[in-house]
Amino acid sequence: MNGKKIKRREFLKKAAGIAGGAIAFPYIVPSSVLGKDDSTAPSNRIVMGCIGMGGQGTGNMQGFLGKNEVQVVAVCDVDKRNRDKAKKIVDDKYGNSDCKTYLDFREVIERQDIDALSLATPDHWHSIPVVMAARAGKDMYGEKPLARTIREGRAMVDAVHRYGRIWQTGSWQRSVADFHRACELVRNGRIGKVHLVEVGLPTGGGSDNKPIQPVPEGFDWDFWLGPAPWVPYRGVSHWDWRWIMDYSGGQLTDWAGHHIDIAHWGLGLDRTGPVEIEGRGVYPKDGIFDVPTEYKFTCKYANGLTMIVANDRQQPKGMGAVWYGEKGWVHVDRGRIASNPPAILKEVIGPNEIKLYESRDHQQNFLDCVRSRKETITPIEIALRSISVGLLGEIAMLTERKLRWDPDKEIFPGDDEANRLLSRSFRSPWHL
Amino acid sequence: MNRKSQIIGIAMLALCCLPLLTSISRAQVTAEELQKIEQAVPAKATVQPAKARKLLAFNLCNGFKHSSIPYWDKALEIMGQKTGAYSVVISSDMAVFKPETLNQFDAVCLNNTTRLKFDEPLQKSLMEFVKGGKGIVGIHAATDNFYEWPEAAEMMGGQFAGHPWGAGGTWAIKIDDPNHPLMVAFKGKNFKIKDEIYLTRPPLYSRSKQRVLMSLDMSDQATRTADGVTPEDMDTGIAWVKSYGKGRIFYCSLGHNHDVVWNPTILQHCLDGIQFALGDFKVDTKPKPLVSSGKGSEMDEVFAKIKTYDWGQSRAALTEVSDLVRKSHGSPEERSKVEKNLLELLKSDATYACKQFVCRELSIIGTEQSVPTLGAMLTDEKLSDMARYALERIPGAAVDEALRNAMAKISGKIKVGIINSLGQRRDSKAVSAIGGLVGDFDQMIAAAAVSALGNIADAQATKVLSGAKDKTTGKLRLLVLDAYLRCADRLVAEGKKADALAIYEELMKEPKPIGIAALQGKLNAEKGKGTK
Repeated sequence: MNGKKIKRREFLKKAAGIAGGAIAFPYIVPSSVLGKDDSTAPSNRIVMGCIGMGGQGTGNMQGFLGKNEVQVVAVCDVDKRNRDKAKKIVDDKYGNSDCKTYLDFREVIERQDIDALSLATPDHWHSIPVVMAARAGKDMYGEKPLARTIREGRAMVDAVHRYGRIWQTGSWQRSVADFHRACELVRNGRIGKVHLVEVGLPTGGGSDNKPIQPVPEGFDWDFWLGPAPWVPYRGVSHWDWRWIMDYSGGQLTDWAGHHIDIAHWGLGLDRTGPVEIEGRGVYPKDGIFDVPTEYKFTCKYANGLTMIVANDRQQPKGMGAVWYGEKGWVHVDRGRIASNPPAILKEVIGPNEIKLYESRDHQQNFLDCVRSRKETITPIEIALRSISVGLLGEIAMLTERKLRWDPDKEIFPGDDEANRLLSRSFRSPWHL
Repeated sequence: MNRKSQIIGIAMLALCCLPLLTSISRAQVTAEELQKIEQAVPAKATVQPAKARKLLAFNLCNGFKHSSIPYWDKALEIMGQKTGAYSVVISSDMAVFKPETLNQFDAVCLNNTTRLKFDEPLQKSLMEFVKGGKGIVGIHAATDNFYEWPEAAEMMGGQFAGHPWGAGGTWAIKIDDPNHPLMVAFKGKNFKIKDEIYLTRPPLYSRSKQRVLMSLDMSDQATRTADGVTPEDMDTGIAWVKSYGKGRIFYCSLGHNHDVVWNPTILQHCLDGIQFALGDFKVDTKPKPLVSSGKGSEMDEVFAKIKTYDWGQSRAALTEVSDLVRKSHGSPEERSKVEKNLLELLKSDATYACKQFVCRELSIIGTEQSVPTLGAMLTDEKLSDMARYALERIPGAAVDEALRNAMAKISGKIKVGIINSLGQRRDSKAVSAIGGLVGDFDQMIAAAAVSALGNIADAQATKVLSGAKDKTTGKLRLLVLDAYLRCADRLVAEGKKADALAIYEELMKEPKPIGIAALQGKLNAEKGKGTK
């Protein structure tokens, strides 16, 4: 996938009308093959269902509600409070009470009138709905990180590709000017050959040992756990799930889909992965939270490049992605971009240079692609490769060993023990 | 170096830096106390210094000022003189950290300094000093510094987070590393001490970043339950060493109460630490986890502790077991012992929470040794899922066999789990039995069987699915077609393009989404690109 040269204007032109020649991504059926008269091809409005109505899911839904071309018809959450709140937002927007609420996401996926889904479930609940929805022919805007394990992630990528679905990952930094700019400068050699990349992500925190509590009324705790091992409710669910390894890898995996994703983008390595990983994490010895609070690991890529991922306190420049090349460095983070020498930032990218995919509205990009059937700015393969770095780091820290990784076969060659950590057993009756 | 020349050395040094170096060893220490210190100080250096060593004892306080400071100044001075290990210069002037002054020293001892503030040039100077191969010794409040300088806090290996263990209490301390050269003074014996204990919390304090030599003994009730102690404080380090760049850090949290300064064991420990920091005493600084597996009985004790674990209780003992599991890597003998201990817990009347934890650990290191015990749990409604959690990851034909046997015996939800595990393991020997379940009256089981066949996707599974597409209807048929497509994808991956194309072309006649997916598969196969 080198030289993704989609120019904004060209892209919009194509997106606005009926899709022109499909760009050469192998797994999307060109619209010309599907035929314009395909009965469920998006007509005027894209009908959407939203699954997972916590903070992020509600925010994403509100973004889609703001688009005239979208009609949100369903909201789904295992917690009644969340789904009722979401329904009210939708109904207030449309001035009716048509929005349906669901506890079980499968009923949303089964709805034939829904074209696309907005997904924002906890990480351990990413793979199953995505694989099901792909089978049902839905396009999806899904939250990062793509999956809790690399095997689940690969199954998701396969299903989305198999059914030719449009997928956008919630790695919205790609649709922000600074990040795009930084990546384009690095890709076009403005700092020379890159030998080192530092990725700084947030530092975590611990907790006490929370006692078992009654499950709040209207909250289906068993469903919330889903494929994860059964444990009693201890007051940790919405939001705080990300500090427990059954559901998430902590700040590391939460943010891998942001700054690691950007680091990969700037390097053009976003469809492959490292070949060697080694690192250490600081794990709370007690308390309900068990993800690392501090972490630092080094990835080596086949081209000799080194990427160091660590929590911000262990990175010289803190949060963000920093590429170091033979002629200088570029650092980008939310709200800040810097370089050395500073003049790099004034550089103009010439007409014959690499132009990275341009989007300034992440959700609009998804909707455009639902219509055009073209690849989004953060397609699912890239999402898997971004989170894979985080998940590989997690495995290296848990095993406290230097691991070799084969990014094509997606295995640790000759290391059965590390390979075990690439997947997890699902609690019955859940399966992909 | 004899005492006389050393004194001259100090005098000369003091002369060169006269404006900077002010002695604050004032007469607060009584003659009687001085005598006690003199008697308690070790008679000789632990190792012969490679050359004349200079220690800077720094004692500035911008925050709380400990009254033990002059006692430590005296002890440091006397110890240097008596043993010849080093000469000492005492100062409280920040200017001493300028490179031209600092670089004449081999190590800096932070004697109960608090809230030290380093401007940028001085930060650079001290960092270069340490990273370039010099040492830092920290006494008691030495961790109460560097709040605006994270790198230095990181260097120290901890930062003051309170002292739930006050100066009036008597607290238990355990020797974590009895064989470490810096711990010889303690002769491997845990002890109690009346002193104020500084709490330094993770993540700055971490056994993966420093070698912790001793820590609070939480098996002592008074220590464990001191006012303000939280579960995350269960590992509170007392003394540690670490390497930082090319430099060396030694810290000991004791030394608030005056009488600590005439405790011969503590002084011997400090001298050893100082000689390490000065660069004369070469010791291992490699970080080490809390529990070394050591002898069998020690290991058994660790496992016994988790038998009654329940959710909501302290997880500290579980962490110890996890550390043991991880550290047993590379030693089949250790690993086998650990596995046996875990299996004993599964066979015992341990709590469900404990057994669940054990299954998680066995998923990482379990071998065929675990199969009989875990296999027996598969048919237990409550334990089946967790037994699979371990078994699904354990390699070997014995696991597949145990799963197949259990599948034949049970029904309902846990059967779905076993079908799924066999699918995940791509067990070809299970295909005929799973194939028989495609027609099961329980739709949940039928769907799981179809999905498992799509995962296994060998020749036989492909055949079963091909037959099933004509015998199923509705939602189940869609799943069959999906699984059949996955068989075609697998064929592409295995290079059997012609067989794959036959399936795609057959399925292209189906309505969408299957028809489109089949067309997609065909196009990808022809281009030589497939899903993985």
